[in-house]
Amino acid sequence: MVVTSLGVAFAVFLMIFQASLLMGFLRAAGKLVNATDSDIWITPRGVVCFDFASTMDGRLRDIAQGVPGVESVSRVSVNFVSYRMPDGQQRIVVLIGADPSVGPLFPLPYLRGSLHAMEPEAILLDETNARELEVFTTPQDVEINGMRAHIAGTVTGFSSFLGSPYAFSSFEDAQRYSGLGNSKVAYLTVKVAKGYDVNALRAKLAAKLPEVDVRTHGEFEHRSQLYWVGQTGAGAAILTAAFLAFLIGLVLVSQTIYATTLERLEEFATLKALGASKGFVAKIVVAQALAFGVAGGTLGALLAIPAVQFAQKGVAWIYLPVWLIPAVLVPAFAMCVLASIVSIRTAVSVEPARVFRV
Amino acid sequence: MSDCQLSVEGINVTLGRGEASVRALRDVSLEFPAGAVTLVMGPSGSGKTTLLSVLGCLLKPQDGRVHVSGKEVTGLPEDELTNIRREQIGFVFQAFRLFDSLSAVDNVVLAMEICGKKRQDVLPKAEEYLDNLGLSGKKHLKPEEMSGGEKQRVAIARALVREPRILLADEPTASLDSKSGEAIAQILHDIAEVGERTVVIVSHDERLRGFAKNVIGLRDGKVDGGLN
Repeated sequence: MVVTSLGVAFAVFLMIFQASLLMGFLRAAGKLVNATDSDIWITPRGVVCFDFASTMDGRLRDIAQGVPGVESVSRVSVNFVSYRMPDGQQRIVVLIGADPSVGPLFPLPYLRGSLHAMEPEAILLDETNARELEVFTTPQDVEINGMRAHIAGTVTGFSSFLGSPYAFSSFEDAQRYSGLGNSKVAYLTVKVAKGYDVNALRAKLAAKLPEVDVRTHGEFEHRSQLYWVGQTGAGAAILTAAFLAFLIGLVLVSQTIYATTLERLEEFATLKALGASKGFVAKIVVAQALAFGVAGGTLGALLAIPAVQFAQKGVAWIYLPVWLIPAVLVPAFAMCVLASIVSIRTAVSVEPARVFRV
Repeated sequence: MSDCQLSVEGINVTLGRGEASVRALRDVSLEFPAGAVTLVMGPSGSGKTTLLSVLGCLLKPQDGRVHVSGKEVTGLPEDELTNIRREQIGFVFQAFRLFDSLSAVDNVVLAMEICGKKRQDVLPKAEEYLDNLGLSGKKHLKPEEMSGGEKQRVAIARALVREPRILLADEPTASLDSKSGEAIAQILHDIAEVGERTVVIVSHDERLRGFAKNVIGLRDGKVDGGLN
């Protein structure tokens, strides 16, 4: 009983942990898109994800702003820049800047008490990257692309999985540090006025701006996620690992349940000798499997939750949504029952006369 | 045959296949009367256990006929044989064959649940049978917490709770000390005589002769000595 439950627990643990990596990866891939208060994204033609931006003409903002139904248009800048640490070492960071209207959840160095005015030459870092970039107290002076800047503070939940940390500033500062000026922009986010249909406005903007891509917020988020998961080695590795973990977990559960049934053949022979029908024996096998599934599954989930929390110290983007636990447990239970069905044949066909063997 | 609930007529059983096959029973004809203990004795390999398997509808003979409660069961399909075992035959095994994860009373209840009855309906009856076998204080113990004699009493309660007319016991005293063995033999004797049941015991244990009305000898699959 204990060994079987532990087997199921290990399988469920593995499935939940790997699925958490995948969920975290997907969430991180769309995190900055989701942090904006936008309905539509205008992007340079062919951009595959948020992180790998190119530039488009900044005047497109004025054109978009003139389309009926557009409430506001915000500029977003995304560039890889050189970051010089206090000890002189250099690192490449992804510098992201945006207008204040991009949304209150987007990490920007606002002046204290304001959601409109931003501190000049100020940079925010995710707290998980601060130590790596030798920022131990704030404010701290640094250099970005040879220009003076200062780390004004840290934010949480915006760590990068690219390998290059994110740094956040105002749109103007980001463009200046990147040497682009205000005539270019990476993205434009559009807020649709109340009473207007997002898809209809998206089509209208697309017609008005034929040289760029116009997508809904959800479409761009999914495009970014699909790119990272489907078209990069890292994403493919995580997706494959999650899929394999799921398969391995299911196979482990099946094998464990089947092995347990084989171990209990003598008991099934006794039941049959006592007059148990095939249906009764089958019911016992399924009930046993479900009991193992519930006990092992619960244990596996209980172990996976703190394990994921612990892992977040090193892999900040790993994410275990509450719904993921039942999403893993339900197929695990189903697999227990399925494995037991395979076992039923063995259990009901056991020779009852073996009860006389000692 | 009026008081005979169990009989075999001209049965032959061959176990195994090819060169490894063994003729376990050869043209055996026997009757087992109700109200008495019939003891089947014989050396190892004589066919005692095979005979018990045939009597318990666990093994079909290649030839011959088996009658249970006046009905020939030889050619019945597996499901019907299962019904006969459930309704008319109780088993007591040498190794007890209790379910370790269940308490004594739950082992007895299980025998009733197999018949489709609900636990709450049969619990009092199961407890009554355990009480009658002197296990009042042990009903909620697991088998591992009980002595061999106590386990065998639980097994007897399990066999009797469905009130079968036939009780088949395979070496019921072999795993017990002499005192416990004697007590179990007395219980089986009383079950047969007081309950008017057919009790068949297969054993090497010579002490059981004193509790049996009939003793049958088996040797090399043949009856070796008739009814006493």
